[in-house]
Amino acid sequence: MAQGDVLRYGGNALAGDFGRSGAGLALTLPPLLFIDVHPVVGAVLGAMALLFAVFLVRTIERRATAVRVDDDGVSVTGFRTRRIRWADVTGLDLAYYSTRRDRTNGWMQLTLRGPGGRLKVESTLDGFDGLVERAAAAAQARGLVLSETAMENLGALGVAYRPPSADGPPAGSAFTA
Amino acid sequence: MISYVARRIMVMIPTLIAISLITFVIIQLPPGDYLTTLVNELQSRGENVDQSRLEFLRQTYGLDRPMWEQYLVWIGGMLTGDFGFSFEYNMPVSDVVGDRLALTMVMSVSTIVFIWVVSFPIAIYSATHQYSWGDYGLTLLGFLGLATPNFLLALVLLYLSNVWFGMSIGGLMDPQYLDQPWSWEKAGSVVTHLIIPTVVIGTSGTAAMIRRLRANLLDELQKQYYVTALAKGLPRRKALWKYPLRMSLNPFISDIGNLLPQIMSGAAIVSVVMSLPTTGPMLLDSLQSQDMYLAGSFLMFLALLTVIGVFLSDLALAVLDPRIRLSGGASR
Repeated sequence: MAQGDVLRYGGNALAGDFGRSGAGLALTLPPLLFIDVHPVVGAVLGAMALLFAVFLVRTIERRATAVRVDDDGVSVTGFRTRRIRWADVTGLDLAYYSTRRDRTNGWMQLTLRGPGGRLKVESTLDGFDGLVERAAAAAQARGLVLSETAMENLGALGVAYRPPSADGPPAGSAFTA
Repeated sequence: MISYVARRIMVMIPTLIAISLITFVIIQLPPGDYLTTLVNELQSRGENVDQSRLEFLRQTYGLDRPMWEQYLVWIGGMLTGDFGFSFEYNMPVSDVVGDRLALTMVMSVSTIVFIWVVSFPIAIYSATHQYSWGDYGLTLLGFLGLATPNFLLALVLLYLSNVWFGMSIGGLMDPQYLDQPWSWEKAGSVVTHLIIPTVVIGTSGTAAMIRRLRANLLDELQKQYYVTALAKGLPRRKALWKYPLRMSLNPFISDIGNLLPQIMSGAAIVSVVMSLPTTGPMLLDSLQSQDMYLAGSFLMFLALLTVIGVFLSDLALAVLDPRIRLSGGASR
């Protein structure tokens, strides 16, 4: 990934999410609007319709989102703009989710924390691997202690991360007696 | 997480629709319908059957309509809280099920609590004292629990509780409370009567859970991070509670999805043996008599419990342990 690149979410992934949110609303809204449903069923369907509406708004936001990576940091522009400088990264988390029982065909979510707040991107973003590599390098330089889950997921992406506790437990580490 | 929940629900909805379709087709598969069964029963007793009345009933209950129409009426009714009409009890399904569903839920929850409370400490002891006399003894008990059929254990415990402890056996409450409104005395009677069914139904689940948690905990106790934590001076108990135990809890969480329907359906035979007023025996009767709406509602309820249980356990696992398994694979 070249420095200064602008990354966007892939069209196919966005189309899938638009399809899911549309289908979800199509399945949950009509019974609510046209049938006198039981209050409990109504509450469940209402909650699901709300969830799919939020999911739709988030997918629209993603369509407008651009992630800019440069030597100084990473910024996300969309409905609102957030920026975290590499030198200010205070936390990195990398989670893997899959809806299948065998946990295949899943996706990853990178969370970066800094003084300005939190920044989340998913692996459907074009150039996600390069961004993870750059973020891991920044976390390594800052000597951050990552969760075992994040380290394992980084390893699965082929990103090496050496825990700062290799020469002894860091201050505040869970392994400190 | 919104992305995960939305995608997961989009898997749940078609699953439930497919299950409802399959359930409806299956309960319609046997030749004839409830009225045919009723006619056969009456004829076997030498009683006359009024054909015009039969036709009237068939039209009233919509049994003469095409299957797809019956399905849509059934599934649409469920959304409005109308689960159909029980032909055998001659009243709405929701009225028939009534207290039985609540009692079944109470029994299921107490069984789950029993399974967890018993299996958790035993599995931890077995794993941390591997190959000790205690481990061997508890393992033997576990295998006995797995190997003993529930209905047999029910019969043995019923006999022992009656002969040795003089306890009232059968049912979920003393007979004098059967048609009484709920009171503290009635609730106390239910709690007393819950003990044996809970132990009987929970025994096999407890044994399976002990074996699984023990195996997982043993795996974790041999990993480098635990050995390193001990080597750095972390107290053994603290190291155990903070790391390996948490990691080995995954099977507990992932089992929620299977536990609920297993207990609900697995309790049917025990309920018959112990005369428990739960949903199990009613489901068996409704399937035998082709009481389609009652049977269909029960089966849908079990399916719903399974789907919700699996959803909750998947959600908990996604929150607690969002790790990639190297045997699987990520994709965009």
